Amino acid sequence: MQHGALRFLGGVPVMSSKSKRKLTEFLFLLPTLIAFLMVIIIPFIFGIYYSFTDWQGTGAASKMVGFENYVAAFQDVGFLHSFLKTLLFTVLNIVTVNVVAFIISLLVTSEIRGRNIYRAGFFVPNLIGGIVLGLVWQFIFSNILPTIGQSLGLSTLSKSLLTNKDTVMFTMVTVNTWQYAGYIMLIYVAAIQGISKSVMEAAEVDGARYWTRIMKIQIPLMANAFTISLFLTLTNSFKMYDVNVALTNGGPVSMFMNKPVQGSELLALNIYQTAFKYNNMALGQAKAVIFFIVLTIFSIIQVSYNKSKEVEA
Amino acid sequence: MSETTAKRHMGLKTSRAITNTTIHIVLIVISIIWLIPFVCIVLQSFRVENTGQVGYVIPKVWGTANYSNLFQTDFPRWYTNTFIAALVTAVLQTVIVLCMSYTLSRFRFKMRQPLMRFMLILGMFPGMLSMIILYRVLKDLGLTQENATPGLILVYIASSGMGYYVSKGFFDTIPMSLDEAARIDGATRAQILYKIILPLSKPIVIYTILTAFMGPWGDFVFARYIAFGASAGKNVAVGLYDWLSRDQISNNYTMFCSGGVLVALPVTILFMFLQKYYVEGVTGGAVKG
Repeated sequence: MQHGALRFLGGVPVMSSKSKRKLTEFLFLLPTLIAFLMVIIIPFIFGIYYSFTDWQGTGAASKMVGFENYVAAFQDVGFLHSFLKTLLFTVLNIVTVNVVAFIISLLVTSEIRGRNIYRAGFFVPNLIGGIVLGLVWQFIFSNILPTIGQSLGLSTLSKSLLTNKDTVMFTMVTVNTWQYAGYIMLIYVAAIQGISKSVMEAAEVDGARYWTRIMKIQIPLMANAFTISLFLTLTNSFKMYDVNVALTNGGPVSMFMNKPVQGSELLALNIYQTAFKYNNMALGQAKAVIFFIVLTIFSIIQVSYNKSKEVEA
Repeated sequence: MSETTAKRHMGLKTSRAITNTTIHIVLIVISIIWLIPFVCIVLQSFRVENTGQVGYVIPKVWGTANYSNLFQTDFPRWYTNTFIAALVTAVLQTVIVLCMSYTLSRFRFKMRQPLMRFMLILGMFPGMLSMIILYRVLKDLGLTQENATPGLILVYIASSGMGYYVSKGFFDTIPMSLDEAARIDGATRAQILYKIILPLSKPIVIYTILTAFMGPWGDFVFARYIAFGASAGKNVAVGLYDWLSRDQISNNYTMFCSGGVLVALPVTILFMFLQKYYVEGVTGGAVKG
């Protein structure tokens, strides 16, 4: 520092090249940092803070209430129900998205003509927002399928699958798989292409059957892709909101712990409704913090489990 | 070559042909299922005998009235809003993400690992909950309701630094020795990024642009809350969704479909053109990273 000042007096540049570089780096970061602070960090910190208050969303002063909102969240039957439904949805969704994506990726990496068109085609549902596509599916489930069901005399299909509490989860998994499998497929395609041909050929020469080659060679060598795909599907399913809104908006009503609850309301929608429909901001914030903690724990467990299974070629 | 190997070769060839046909059939069946919603929405958008939801797919009377009617509504405004937001976000977010990824890939600083982990975990926080406070911040800046578009752009680009994951993975695959050689030759960091790294990273640049464009294009949660009922501030997803409220759906359903087609078209065409790069981007970034 002193050295710099002396040099300044001597008429040479103020800063040593190292601190000058540091300053340049910082200036480059500044706009991003300000935006990041304003839009991500401040709302995040305040969000946690307000979950301990009785804040109602208006500017009015709020007082600290400790863990009251958290207690209320765990006593809210609708919230618990949403929690269980979200867990169920997440498990089903992770399985179907990844199985479908993996099967398709095997098909489109085989030596067939037109595989690029297939790859692009399966990806397209991912391009257009979940809300528009969700509304189209809603039309298919509530209008088209019942018409087909009635003409074929199938009793399960003749009523909308969306109003039946036993089938509504299935419709959401279907739509989400349809929308998301193409993206995950691309990751698997990339991984399959990354496996060296000679390894697969050596196995074939050694007499390993197709199934064995997939199970014993491809899948272990693709472990890295599985880690990423499972992480993406886990967080995506857990945060599911727009397909939920577009398809069912939470309905139909069903009974849970002797209380009526919204049968297909997932966590994100439940939190949104708490905060904005029932105007209970503080409770909504507390639910969001619980949501955040649970999702973080799950994804850390998932990633570290998957990482432990990864092998080098 | 002995007779048996020749025979075996023949067998392989026919079995390969059979496998390929099977694969084609399976793929075509999946493709048909995949296409059903698109076929539905396109057909419905040309149905003019009834504007509500009906129990059949193929129109009885065909026409383009649903498309021309769109121009009598706020739809063009919503479309412009969405397009501006997507375009500006695509440009700025690409710059931020690429700089961020380059920094995280090449620089070694004390907080690097914690920073990366921190941002990944922060991404788990349900976005909608920061929304209440975000709304207040933006309202103070006058960026809500009618002025939602600039507010939304701010929101989209602010969080974009957290999307470093895939492109950092891609940069990691470019050998460090290239940077070092350039450094020895006297190139600055910025020169290295523009003249060496980016030309080698075409797929990831296109991947980043496409992702950045698509996010705002389909966004619903934030757009809905920040526009807060003001029609002039809505984006297409919000506008179209609001058309289907229970008391309006019978008037607007076919128009919703034509709007949906117009929303889907540009991104689909864009993707078809850039498909090759996009796939390479994911290939290089997500997996090798």
